[in-house]
Amino acid sequence: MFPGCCRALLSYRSWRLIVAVLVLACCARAQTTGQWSALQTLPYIPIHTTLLPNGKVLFFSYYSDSLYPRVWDPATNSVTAAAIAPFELFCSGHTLMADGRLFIAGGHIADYTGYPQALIYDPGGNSFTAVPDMNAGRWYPTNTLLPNGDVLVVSGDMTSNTSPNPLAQVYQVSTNSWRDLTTAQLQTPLYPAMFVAPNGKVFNAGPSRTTRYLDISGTGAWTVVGSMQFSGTRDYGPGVMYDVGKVLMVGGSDPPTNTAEIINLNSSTPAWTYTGAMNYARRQHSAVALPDGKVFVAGGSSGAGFDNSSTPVYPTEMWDPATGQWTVMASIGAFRGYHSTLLLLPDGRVFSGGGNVAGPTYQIFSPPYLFAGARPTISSAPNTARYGQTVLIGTPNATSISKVTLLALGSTTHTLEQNQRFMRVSFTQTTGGLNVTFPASPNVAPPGYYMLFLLNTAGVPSVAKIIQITASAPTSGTVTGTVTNSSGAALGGATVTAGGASATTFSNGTYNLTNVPSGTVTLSASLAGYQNASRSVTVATGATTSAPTLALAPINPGAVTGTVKNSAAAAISGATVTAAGQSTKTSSLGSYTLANLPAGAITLAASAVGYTASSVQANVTAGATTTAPAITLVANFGAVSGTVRNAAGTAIAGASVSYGGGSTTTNTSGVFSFAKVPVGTIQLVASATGYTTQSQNVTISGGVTSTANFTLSAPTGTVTGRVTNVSTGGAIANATVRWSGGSTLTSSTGTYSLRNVTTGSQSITASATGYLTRTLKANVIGGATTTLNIPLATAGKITVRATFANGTAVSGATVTVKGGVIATTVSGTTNTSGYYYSPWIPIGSYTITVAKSGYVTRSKTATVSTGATTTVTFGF
Amino acid sequence: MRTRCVSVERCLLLMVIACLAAPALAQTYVAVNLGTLRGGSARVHQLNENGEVVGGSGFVYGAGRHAFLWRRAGGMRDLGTLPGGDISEAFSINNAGQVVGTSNTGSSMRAFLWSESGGLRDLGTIAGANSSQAYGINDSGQIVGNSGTRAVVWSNGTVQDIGGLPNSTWSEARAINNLGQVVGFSNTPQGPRAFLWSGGAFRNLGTLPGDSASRANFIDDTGRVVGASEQNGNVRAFLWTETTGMQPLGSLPGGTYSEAFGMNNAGQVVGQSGSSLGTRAFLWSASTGMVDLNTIVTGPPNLVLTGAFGINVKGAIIAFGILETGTNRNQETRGDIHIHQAGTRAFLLMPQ
Repeated sequence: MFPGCCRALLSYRSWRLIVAVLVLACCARAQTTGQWSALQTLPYIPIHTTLLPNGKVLFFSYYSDSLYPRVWDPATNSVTAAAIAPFELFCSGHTLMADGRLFIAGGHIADYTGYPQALIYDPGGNSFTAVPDMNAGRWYPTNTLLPNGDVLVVSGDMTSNTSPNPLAQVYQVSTNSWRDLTTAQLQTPLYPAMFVAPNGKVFNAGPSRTTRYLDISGTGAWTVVGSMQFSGTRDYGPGVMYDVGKVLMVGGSDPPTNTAEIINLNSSTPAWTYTGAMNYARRQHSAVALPDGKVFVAGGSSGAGFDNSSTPVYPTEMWDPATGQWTVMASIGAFRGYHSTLLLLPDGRVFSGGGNVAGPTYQIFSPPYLFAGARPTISSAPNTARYGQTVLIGTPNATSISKVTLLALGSTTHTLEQNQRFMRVSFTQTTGGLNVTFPASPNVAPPGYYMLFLLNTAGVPSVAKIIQITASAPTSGTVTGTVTNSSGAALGGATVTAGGASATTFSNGTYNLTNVPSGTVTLSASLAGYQNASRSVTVATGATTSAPTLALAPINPGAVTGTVKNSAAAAISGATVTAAGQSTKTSSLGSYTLANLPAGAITLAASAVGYTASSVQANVTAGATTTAPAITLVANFGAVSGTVRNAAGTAIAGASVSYGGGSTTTNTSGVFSFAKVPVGTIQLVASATGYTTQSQNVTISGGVTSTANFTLSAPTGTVTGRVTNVSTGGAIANATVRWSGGSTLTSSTGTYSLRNVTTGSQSITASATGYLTRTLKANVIGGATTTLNIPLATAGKITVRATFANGTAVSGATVTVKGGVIATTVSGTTNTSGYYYSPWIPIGSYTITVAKSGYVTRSKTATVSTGATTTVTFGF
Repeated sequence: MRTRCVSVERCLLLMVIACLAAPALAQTYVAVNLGTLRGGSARVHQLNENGEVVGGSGFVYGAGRHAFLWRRAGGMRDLGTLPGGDISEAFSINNAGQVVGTSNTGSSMRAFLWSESGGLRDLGTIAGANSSQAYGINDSGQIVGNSGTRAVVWSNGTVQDIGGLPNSTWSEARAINNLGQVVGFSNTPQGPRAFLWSGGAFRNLGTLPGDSASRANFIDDTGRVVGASEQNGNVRAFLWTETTGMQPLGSLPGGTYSEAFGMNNAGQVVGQSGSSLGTRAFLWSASTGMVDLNTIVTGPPNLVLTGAFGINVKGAIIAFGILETGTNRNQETRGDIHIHQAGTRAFLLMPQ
């Protein structure tokens, strides 16, 4: 609580003032360092990210998820499923083609093994088309759109036993064939950074320190341009073509560097020079050129090693090519490291998403220029422009425009940007806007789709207009729209045609028909089970026409009713049931009804949280309600439990049991259990101190508790060594070497090997004919080999005779015999006849001591020989 | 990894002896980490009977990668590059310790031969080509690879264009045995096909039923061939013999993908397979079938072996894998944040 005076001070008006000051302070910060949106989630990790000509963003994720590309609409923040890919697109190369389709080369068969296949994705038709296979597989290749509209593909791993595919290949669009650059074969890194240079060659800017031109004419040729200044290697450091013929390579390497360097390919002798260094060392970060020509860098780790999440770099940075200096920007909200992407959006904001650590999340960065005043607007612009053409860009802000820039639509993955480039274009003011002259050369701007931004004198950009730069005048346009059923529900998978162009609707019912001939054409939609629908539309040249929604009526509609239940036959309420583009939820009794379905066979699909989706077939009868078979959903999770015992069957308490999804310890009865284990095969590992760790595969079924018992055995090791004659060093063959659990014989060279010996200190005994048996201790280590050499000695005996001066026996005298080639001490007392007889003892020199109470103790030395008895006499 | 064989009979005898000595199912291995040259990544391609190992090591993306030779005494040694080159990789070593591989020059790449006495030597190209690669060498010093678009054999200082299957425009040789038999792949109008070149004649080894492409990766001294057959990216390991033709080796439980990369004269095959726990290194023999090497190797629990590439008659295996904080060989590797394209490590697996 505040004191009364403070309460009085903090009146409503004061609060308003404080809020206003805070907002101003925040905006002031945003003006200099930009601002990140809140962290938001996506259905899956965006690992491959491409800005499509329609302003939406295409994502591929990893592994089998990459079979299911998604389209994200930044305007509505909605995600739609695109057509299913024919193979895993993870780890492919991709770049937009001149006509706005995406060329995809290779993909993921296994880590380090790539597909030899290549595909074209048509965003308009929402379809994948295969092209002829490449020479071999490619995993992590780079695609580059060439000035003539063909696509260059380089690098990519073929298999894990080869180096990356050394052959550069060009996909020739006009003939749907590959041109092999057979004289341009080279060992390359994966995902090399490649940029079309003003001279028409393709510049390889990294990550190797040696940078080269690839001349793609004829059968191809590589030439060395020069080495980067950075003496390490810019491994996982991105490159940006930040102006015509100018490339920036920034950060990378292991440990990461903060250095950055540039090269100007317009020079007759291009050479790398350092520009300013970033404020933070980074690796596995991303870089993107912005509408004002600056370069924005986000993410990465400053620590050594792979995707080091203990040292994430949260502050972002902006590089100004005019000064070569970096300015720290607002901090990002998650570690965007390996598998993250960064993409400039047409509204001038920057998408940042993914990363293995940050997962399926994203944030949008608003650069400082969005806090510097009102934005200029583009009121009109053509959809296409030809090389060197001057076109009118309508704007009410013509007098304040200081810069007009073009940026190719980005296509990015793994810190590699395969499509992006930045350039300024010349312009003059005119009535109603600006006359903007497009680049004259496809070497400067390869054909395809570009974002055109107008920037005012305060550096504030407009929202971009996406314009296609083409070599020839267009004669066609684009038609977009939606297909629904007669109830207004979206119909995915419907075929839409117009004037020879064809497309398939997305899951949200929308389509994008490109290359539709200009003029009035008939637009038709069809889907199995529905009546066709069509209408005429007038298509404007080079423009996008929005067609009215096509609603398809079912053929002879009927209804279906049914129930959804779990494996225990209990009703599942709130489950989603879909059929023929319609969906509904089950009631509290698990029942549903779907009306207005097309007659004939349909598939009813049901899904519910915590269950694996399932479907049944039903036959819809026109004009009737059919009861479908019940749909049973199996829980996504199962359970596993079991007992850990030792070899004697005794429960082991406190044993650790783990699998990829968690770990636990056994209770006093040796029992463990895991609930909510994902279905499929898991590997359970049980370990306990003093036992050998064991694993077993367990198949988990939905809603079922599987049993997995373990019997752990004490670990064992091996003891090896050599049994020798201690005096000569010679091998003793056929000696018996034993421990409490077994025995073996020595080889002709005296060696032995005892396997499966219990760990810990073990007594090892060697015996051989003619030698004294000897026992030594070995410290046996689980899984390891302990060496224990056992020298043996041959033996003799000593007899001691002690007498008084008068010749009578000295009985009860203490005799100690100490010495021998193996240090030995034996002792005893003389008998009534004055004799002491030693046992067999190692040969060698001994000191014999005889002590008798009341007499001076006597000592003598003697030698014991093999097989002989040495007699030593003492007089008292 | 060649055992000297001067005749088929002696090779067969060696094979029988090796079979007798072949490890039983209970055979386990100790993994020796071969280290890296720089940048934290290494890939391994072949070993000989002396346990000498060759491969390449550099940064994760493959930049700065250099050919290496690993010996128990001295460890990993950088074999460097040919003049002007930035990247090299060693693919094979014979029992005399001669190493072959590929190195970039400034503007191209060349097959190289390295020996202790001769250092790194450019093996040159066939006429009309400006590039070459070497993948295999036998104990007679015969080397195979490709130059330009053709499979080639280097022998006694000369290079021979051995051509390819009928109507091919592209061929590559991947291995040669001590009988001088060569395997690799060649394109054909029907698609890429594994070939066996023996006595100067090409033989099309076909594909597994229903497949559209195949490649041969290795041939042992008895003429058995291993490789992969493929249909739309569905890759399957095969073993080809004169009597059985091409047979699939299957895959580990839960996987569909597999490829065989190496074998010894005892008939043991090594390679890579998909599984319910992700991509795994495998050891295959007729008696045991396909075994996940991770289940029979001792070493740190975070070591995950993802591929095996060579095995000698003594049973020593070379493999690569991931050794990162947080990895776990008992854990499914698919989706694991550290498995995919982290730095790989090379290992020599010694029978225990």
